[in-house]
Amino acid sequence: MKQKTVYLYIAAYLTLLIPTPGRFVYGFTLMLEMLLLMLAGTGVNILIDRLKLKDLKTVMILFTVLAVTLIFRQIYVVLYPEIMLTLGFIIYLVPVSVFLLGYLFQESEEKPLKLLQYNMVRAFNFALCGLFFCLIRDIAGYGTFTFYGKKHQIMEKVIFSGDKLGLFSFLSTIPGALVLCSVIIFFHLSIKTKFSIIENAEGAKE
Amino acid sequence: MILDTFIYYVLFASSVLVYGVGMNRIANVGFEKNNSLFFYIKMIINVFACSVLGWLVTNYVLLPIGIIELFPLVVFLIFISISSFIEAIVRITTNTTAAEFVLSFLIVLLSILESTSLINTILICFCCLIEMLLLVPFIIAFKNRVIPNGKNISERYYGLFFIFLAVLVLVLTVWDVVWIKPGALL
Repeated sequence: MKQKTVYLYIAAYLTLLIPTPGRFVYGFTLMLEMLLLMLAGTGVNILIDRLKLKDLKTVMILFTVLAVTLIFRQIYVVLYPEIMLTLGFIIYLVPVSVFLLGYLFQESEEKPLKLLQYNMVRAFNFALCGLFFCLIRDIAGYGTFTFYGKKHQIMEKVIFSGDKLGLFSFLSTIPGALVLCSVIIFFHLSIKTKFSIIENAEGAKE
Repeated sequence: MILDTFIYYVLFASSVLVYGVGMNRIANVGFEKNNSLFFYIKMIINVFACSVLGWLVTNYVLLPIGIIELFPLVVFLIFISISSFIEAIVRITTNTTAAEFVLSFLIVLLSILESTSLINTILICFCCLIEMLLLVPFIIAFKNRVIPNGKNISERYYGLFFIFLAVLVLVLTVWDVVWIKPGALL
């Protein structure tokens, strides 16, 4: 992972995933919203470049992502109101998160489809990391797996009973999420260090 | 009520640490070059003006006609107008830029979303700004301990920074638990 990408991820994690409740279904909802906003934002970016309206670029993109957020929210209010009630303010963190804005406003001379593919691949990568993060918090912190269920309710599958969780229930809290982020960063750093040692050793042999 | 709201948004449910407003900005405190005084004055005027006008439009225009769900878009338009106007004044008078969007907009959104009156809106904006100000000395002290000499941000710094934020949140909320009750720890 490139250095700049790592810092973008760190900023996005801080903005987006830490305040999220520690259930997989909420993380899934936010990642879905992020993918939708990336698609809409990139589409508007391409359209603005085609129409040569560069003066209005920033305002148009921000207005579009906010509008898509509102549509997304209203759809969920009809389908799963409990999720929107819990998320509340957090869905508005997605459109203004650093990760999204960093890729949407990049000046690129690539073809539209290639730019769309580039942005969506980055968004999918972040979404997968986010989903994995939320899954760990749900299983370790609550001992459950949550997803969309029938009759506009959240389905909850109990994997471990509450008695067996012990101190792992700390991961369901906000300090727990911060500590989990820290563990992931140190894990990534240790892997990077090991690879650099191997590369230096191979370089020294040659 | 004023004291309750102030303590809630500064301590109980910290707007930075729990709501996440400006969390990515405090991570870069001490690394970005210091902004001029006009930047902070512009941001404060922007936040208060947008939140007041946004609340008035939301409460007296959107609410009676039943389209209160569209308030983020309306607030965004108000924010862009006021922000551009103040930015133009700052650029003409001081020849510097004071553009800032994410933090100011999130504070305005949070204050309008969670307020019950106009005074409450202004109070929540004030609480968010005070919270950012209160955290800055802690962040700078932490940064000076971890990276005393250089100004290089590394992944190791962020790893420790996350743990530092976790300790801060625990310090703010640990007193709210009855630890001597059986079952509180496990």
